[in-house]
Amino acid sequence: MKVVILAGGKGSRISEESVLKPKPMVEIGDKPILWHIMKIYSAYGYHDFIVCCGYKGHIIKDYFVHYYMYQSDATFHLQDKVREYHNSSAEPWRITLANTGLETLTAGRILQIRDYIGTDETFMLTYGDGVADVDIPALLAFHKEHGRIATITTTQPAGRFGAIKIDEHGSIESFKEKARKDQSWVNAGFMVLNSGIFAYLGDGSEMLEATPFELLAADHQMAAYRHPGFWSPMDTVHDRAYLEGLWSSGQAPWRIWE
Amino acid sequence: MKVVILAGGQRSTISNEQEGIPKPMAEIGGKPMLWHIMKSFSAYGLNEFIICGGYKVDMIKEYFMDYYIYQSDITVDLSTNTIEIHKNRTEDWKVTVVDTGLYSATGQRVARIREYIEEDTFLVVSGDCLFDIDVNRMIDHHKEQGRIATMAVARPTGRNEALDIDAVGLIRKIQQNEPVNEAWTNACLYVLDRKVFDVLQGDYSLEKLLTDNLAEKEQLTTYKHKGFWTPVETYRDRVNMENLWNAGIAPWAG
Repeated sequence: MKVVILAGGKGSRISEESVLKPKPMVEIGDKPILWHIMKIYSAYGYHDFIVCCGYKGHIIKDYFVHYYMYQSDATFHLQDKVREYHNSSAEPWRITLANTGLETLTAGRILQIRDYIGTDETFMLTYGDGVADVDIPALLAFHKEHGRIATITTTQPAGRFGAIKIDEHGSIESFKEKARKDQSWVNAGFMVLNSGIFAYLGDGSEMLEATPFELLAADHQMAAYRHPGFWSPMDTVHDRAYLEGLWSSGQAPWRIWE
Repeated sequence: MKVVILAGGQRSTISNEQEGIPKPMAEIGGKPMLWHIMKSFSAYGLNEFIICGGYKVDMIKEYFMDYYIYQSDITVDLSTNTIEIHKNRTEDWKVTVVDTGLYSATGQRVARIREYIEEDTFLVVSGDCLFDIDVNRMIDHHKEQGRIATMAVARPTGRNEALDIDAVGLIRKIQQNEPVNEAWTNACLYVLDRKVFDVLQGDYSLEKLLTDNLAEKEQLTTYKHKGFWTPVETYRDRVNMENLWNAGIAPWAG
């Protein structure tokens, strides 16, 4: 089953880094967040990726064109233009990098990679800027069981503010630190889609989450898989520092691989 | 006919990149300036380019070496280390990238690519200007005039716009898009005969070598271009050009 990763957006909110590179190439540890996302799928045996490139897509291409070399010891014979690689530790991945336009919205990006999905009935889709420890086999089983066109992974994000209960005299009655269960469920990506999705994308001039999702929901063709575990987007410099901290302390929950 | 592009100057001051990039590699609408310039020649059937690099010339080499990869969808198979190219979208261009030195002046850069010029006539253009000059008409003009060098000249634009100042120093009415008097500036596009190499001696700018050595002998003529022409030297210039490009009304894109 193929995994499509949306990696074409401009990523303006993490601008300090993404002036130089597209957001999916912003690093956690010494690897782009895109790599981390691929490792999550790869840990469950999904090695076939389609990356929808746009803003500074050439940087993503350069990375994967040279990835095999990065992961190997290399000998260069400069006079005869021969390159030798030894002890490669490259993953068994097959990555298609598609130019899907600079300003294209997500529905349009998905329409443009339709040929690369081929005749597969089902494919997975996620955003190139969020990591989670989603149980992919459980997600796929849920999708199959519900038999809808789209399943999205939903999660309750960690609360950002503690909830304080104040009595009539102004005294604090109780203090709840960042209660996660009070939060509403949000779209975390990690979607499973049937090929029926293409009929909902219109002419591709919208965000996937706009009319396409509204129509799917109205037709009862969307299921929500509730993911109880870890999820974090990398929207801001603050998010990045948080993920970097988890990774460097060896406690990254999304690191489900050896 | 070959088009020589001067792209060796110092780092760009027009982008946000912390790491310097050569000015012709600064992007407009996701493509380097260099690409825009080449496209405008390509539209007139000129597809052979010689790029005089200097500052970070490796970046220019890498760009063209991997150009077909950037323009196409690709599949990288890491288990076999092979790359498959889909829907190959590239240009019918022959691009020679030459390292003409880090600190060379433009005249010396042109002198250094002499061995790549076999034809009698060639073009030289600066890598930091955009224009809609009718290149074929300019070449015809050059042949009619029969001089060694023809320099395109254009109306000064933007901040350098010429002002109409009267005898007592008052500025007269300025009409938008209606340049005043006969003010012309070097538009940094030249048609040159091979003989020009005889005067490209020493480390001077191309403009200086041509004017010092050819003007007096009446071998330097001009081609007056009244259309669009602009240097792209500052961040503001770049934003202006990017706005035109995004709006689909970039004059240089024909």
